Amino acid sequence: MNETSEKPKVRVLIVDDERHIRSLIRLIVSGLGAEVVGEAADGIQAVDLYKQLSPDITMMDINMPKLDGISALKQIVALNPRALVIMMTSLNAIDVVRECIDNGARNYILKNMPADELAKSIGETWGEYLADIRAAES
Amino acid sequence: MSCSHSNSPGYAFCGTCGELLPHARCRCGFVAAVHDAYCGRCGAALVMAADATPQRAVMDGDHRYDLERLAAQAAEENKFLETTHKARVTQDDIRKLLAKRRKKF
Repeated sequence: MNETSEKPKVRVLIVDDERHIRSLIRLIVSGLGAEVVGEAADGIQAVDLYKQLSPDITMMDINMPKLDGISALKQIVALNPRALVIMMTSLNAIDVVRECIDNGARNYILKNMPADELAKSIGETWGEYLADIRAAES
Repeated sequence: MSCSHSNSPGYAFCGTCGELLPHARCRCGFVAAVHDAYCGRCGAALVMAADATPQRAVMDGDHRYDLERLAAQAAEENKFLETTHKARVTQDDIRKLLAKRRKKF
């Protein structure tokens, strides 16, 4: 067996002020083969952990105490313009969606849906992220 | 707050001592609780619709209403209300929006 040929797991940072949502997302992305390297409960923690951990993917809530997810997204993209940030929120206003995409969010997933549908929404574009991450590494 | 009065939802100022209470004022004019995600009047997401301008009294020092200021405020709030409800999206709408953006680049 050649261990060096094994691809390293994609490293994910989960940001949400609700612990049960973080647990659910952890379960979903672990099922997709990713490694959850950190969890943050507000935008300030998110930016700090992003700097420390340099995750491949950041799953980001919007409504959070201390610093909201859009401000955290802007700070992370300022640190790394190629950061792969996926917004996960219940906010479905078009202005919010546009602001996130305009500021560098790779995807915008509405999380107020049953867990199986949420898993499907996250999983449907996961392959694209992996391809981009591998391409950036090579 | 200097007094311990418990104010009802929708209050921007304390009903007893008049002190400014922590709140998020939607651009439609509704005073929401500071941690609310959506406006209780128009349903706008407060992360986008919160009015950053500080509350100003609509009465002058003699306790008379400044009608011009009231009219301007009402016009601004009505304009916002007219546009708010046209702007809700589904996950499918977001997929289409993202696909369109990808085509552009």
